[in-house]
Amino acid sequence: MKKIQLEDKELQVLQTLEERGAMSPSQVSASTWLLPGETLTVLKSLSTEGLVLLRNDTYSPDGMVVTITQNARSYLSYTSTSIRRKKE
Amino acid sequence: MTPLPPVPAPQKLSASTRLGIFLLALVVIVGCLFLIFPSDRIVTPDWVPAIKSELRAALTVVSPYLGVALLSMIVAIAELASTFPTYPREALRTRWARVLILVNVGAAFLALIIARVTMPSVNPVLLVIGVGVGFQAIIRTRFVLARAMGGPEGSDDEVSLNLGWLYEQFQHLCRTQIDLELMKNRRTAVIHLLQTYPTIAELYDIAYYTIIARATLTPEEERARVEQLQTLIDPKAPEQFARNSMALTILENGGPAYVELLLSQAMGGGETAAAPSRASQEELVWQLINNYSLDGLVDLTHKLSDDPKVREWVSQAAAANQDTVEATQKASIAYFLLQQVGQRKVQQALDEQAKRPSAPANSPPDA
Repeated sequence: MKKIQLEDKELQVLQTLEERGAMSPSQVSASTWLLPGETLTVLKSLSTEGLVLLRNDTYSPDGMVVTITQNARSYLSYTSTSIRRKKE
Repeated sequence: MTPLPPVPAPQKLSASTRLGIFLLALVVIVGCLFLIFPSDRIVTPDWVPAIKSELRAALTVVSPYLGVALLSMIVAIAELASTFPTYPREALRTRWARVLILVNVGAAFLALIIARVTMPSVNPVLLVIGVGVGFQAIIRTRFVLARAMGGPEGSDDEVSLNLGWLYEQFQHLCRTQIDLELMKNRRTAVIHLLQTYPTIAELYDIAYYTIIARATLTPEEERARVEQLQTLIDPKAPEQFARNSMALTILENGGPAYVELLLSQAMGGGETAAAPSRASQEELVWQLINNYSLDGLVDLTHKLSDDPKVREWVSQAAAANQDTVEATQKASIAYFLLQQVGQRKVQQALDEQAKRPSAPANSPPDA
């Protein structure tokens, strides 16, 4: 697997998306306490890494929707397993 | 959003059909009881033994036909169920499914008549099994009489007798017609899903859950379907196409009964109604966005929450920022407010605002 280094905020966003499913960037912002502009920057960066998919949705209050990719799910699962092993 | 038409109730047998089945079952049960009733041990009218012997004679003639009819029906139903694994019940209710079953039964009758005429001395039980199973196998079989050594199966070098060709054509016709008949129901289900769950986020989540909740999918099949779903949320896929395809994914993976459950849940029917639904939350978010300006949302937060952290976050989110736009800021604050103070308080504030004769200067209604 490609080695990915994520910042805390990026990890927080990914974990929120993994737990709560697809949502609008505004919901991500409200759930993570990241400011709206900051959230969009983080989401765009994650999208470039192929960890989230960001697309338009006219029915969403902010006109966008974001979801986590399978790659990101695998990454999060790998990361949590590694942390558990280190603790043991 | 346009008002949702009533969810179509699952198709049930009509009253006349149910009455017909009941009467048929009654006749069969009464007939069986009549036949096994020991008339020789107790006093019965004279006509009873005569009728009994006539009934037995009739059954001897009819039962082989009933046997082959039953076997050919089972084969036809199994074929239909395996061709339409997601909608077996719906497929069996179509007109062309009945045609397929009737043709199978008719062909089996014909085969039995020919067999009885040409082989009168064969044991009737063996004849029924032979025709019921053997005939069904023969009309679906392609016999390869000769094949070039080392040649691949189905190549042009084969000499074969394809007895199944005619049946294949007929089966193909039935399959296509049943599929077309089911199209109408599929489209209705997709439209209802899209009306009930309009956002891509909701549709994606339901579709994803539906795929991973399936018990019969192999890990490879599950991965392939999730990957296919992911391609729909890709920005390259047109929005309406993505929504339609996600709704269809839900239907194809969950089946019509599951879609009916989702629709009735969303409409708050029965015990399965979820707690505060996502749709009602989004409706409140839309109302907040449409009825309040950014400053109005900051004021509302100060009114509804005493928590300094909440107030500070909202003030910062409402501040001018080049990385975002006002719609996103308003939506973020609206979701945040709902999470922090709850839907009830927000709903009360919106109700109070609606009762006021004119909106305050800092919260003009946009919509």
